[in-house]
Amino acid sequence: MSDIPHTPSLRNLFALWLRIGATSFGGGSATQLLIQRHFVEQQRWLTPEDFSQVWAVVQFAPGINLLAIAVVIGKKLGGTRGAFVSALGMLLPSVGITIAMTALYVLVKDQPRIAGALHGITPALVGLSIAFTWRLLKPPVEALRAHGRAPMMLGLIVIGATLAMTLLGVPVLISYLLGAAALGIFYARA
Amino acid sequence: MDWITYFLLFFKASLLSTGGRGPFPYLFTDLIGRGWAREAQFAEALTVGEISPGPSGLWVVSLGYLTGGFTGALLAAVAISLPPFTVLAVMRVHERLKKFRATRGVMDGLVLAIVGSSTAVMAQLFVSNGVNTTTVVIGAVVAVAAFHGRIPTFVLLAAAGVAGALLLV
Repeated sequence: MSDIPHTPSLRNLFALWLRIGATSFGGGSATQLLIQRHFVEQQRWLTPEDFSQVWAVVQFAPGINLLAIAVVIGKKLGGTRGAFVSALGMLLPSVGITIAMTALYVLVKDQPRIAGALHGITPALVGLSIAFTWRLLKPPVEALRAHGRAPMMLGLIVIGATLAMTLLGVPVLISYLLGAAALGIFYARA
Repeated sequence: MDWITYFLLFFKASLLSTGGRGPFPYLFTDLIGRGWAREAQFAEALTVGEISPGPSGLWVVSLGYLTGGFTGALLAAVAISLPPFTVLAVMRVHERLKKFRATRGVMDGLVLAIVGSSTAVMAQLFVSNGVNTTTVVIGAVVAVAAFHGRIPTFVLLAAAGVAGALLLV
């Protein structure tokens, strides 16, 4: 980060996250775009390399990736206080607006047209999820393919088994542990 | 409402998963199993999450409001805000973590399990919403359009909403 002219004050950091949290309408993809635009392109508080490093680190953290990104960027630019200020700045407006939008929806949800709209949106969410799943699967599947055909089968078995287990009412935690253990053991031995 | 259990269910869902959709199978099975949520509320919350600012994972906050009012929304917000801070510990050991091949396997395996379980609950959501020609066509068209990635998500959802308001009333 030596080529960065100056690091922001906590106040500047907080203000920028507030702005991103308040204006990134359109969910995660809009938010990611704004983070990149503001921190890398406009303020130049981070280099593109910093940003891809941040992405690599958050892959190992639980919870919402974009929130972990805010924490890591905040830590890099303002220490532990920077991390908290960044997460809070992103969450205050976006959580507030999310609650307000949900409350608005509750007011109008009983109108027949709105109910019809939801019946149309639900299959669209399923369609989105199919496309999203495809993107999510690409890195782990490519990593498995590099090891050969048998590991690819292992990946397919994990997906099929966790799908069936959830349909049969097996607790989700058991499915997640099974998936993590299966590939963890495979990679440790490969 | 037993708020402590409610909070712990949301906290577990976020802590023991990854990404914005990781908590979905937990919350779907836990809340519906207890009678604290209906299937349709998940569609409502996921939709708000895709439109409102901030991470799409904030759909969980919307679900909190729908199932537990303002208190539910605040508890959900706290529950999903805490787990990402563990990344501060991950930062310190990241270089060492990368050396263990098992680490990559554990995270990749988790992603595969999230895909499997999410597909199962998505299928349940789709069926409970009603299976007919219109819903199947909407799902297929949006999947193809989203796959190509040129049309913003909220435009796809808005178009599906208009189609539903006209055809599914």
